Amino acid sequence: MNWKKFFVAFIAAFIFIFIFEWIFHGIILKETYAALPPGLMRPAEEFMKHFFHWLVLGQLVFVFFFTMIFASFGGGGAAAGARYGILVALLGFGANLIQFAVHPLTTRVLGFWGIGGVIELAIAGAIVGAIYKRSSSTTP
Amino acid sequence: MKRFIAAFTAAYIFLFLWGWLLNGILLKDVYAQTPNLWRTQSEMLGFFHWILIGQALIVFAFVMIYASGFAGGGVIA
Repeated sequence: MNWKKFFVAFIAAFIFIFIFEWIFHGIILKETYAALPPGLMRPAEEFMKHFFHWLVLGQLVFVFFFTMIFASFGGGGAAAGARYGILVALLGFGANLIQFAVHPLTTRVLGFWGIGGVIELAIAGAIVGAIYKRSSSTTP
Repeated sequence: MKRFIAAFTAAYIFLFLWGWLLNGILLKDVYAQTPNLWRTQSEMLGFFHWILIGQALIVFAFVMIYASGFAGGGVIA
């Protein structure tokens, strides 16, 4: 494992994920979430005051292992990273389908999560792959 | 391909049984304390096929990632 490359890739991917999710969930889907049954989402004030750090921690944990798994492959460039990201997004969409089946979510939310997840993780994977490239000095 | 299908099937059976045991039995009473967060039991049954498709997708991607990156030894190697 090349730890220097790993941490650069991890930080770059985290910054991207944080900004993407803020735009996607905080701005684009804001009205869609507001139309969901009351009580399903925490009120904005409660979320910002008591739970925002959990969101950031969750993103950190996710991106750490997202980068770690790819680095364990030995790296592979932006295209390989994007393919890896799409596979992880499919895995996440499987979980979204289950969430849709058990929580009172709408097909609109499900559709946005599916499309957004593929775009988000393909780009995040490409970022990680571009930084954590294979090299003769890199051992998996 | 043969190994992939065998791994997919075995992992799917495990995930289905584990999901049923953990969410359907062990956590049943915990989930019942927050009814506003869940679809009703009868409504959920109408969506049951989405659970099966979701689990299949999870296992497919999981096995695919493993086969792409770790089948030759991966982390251990």
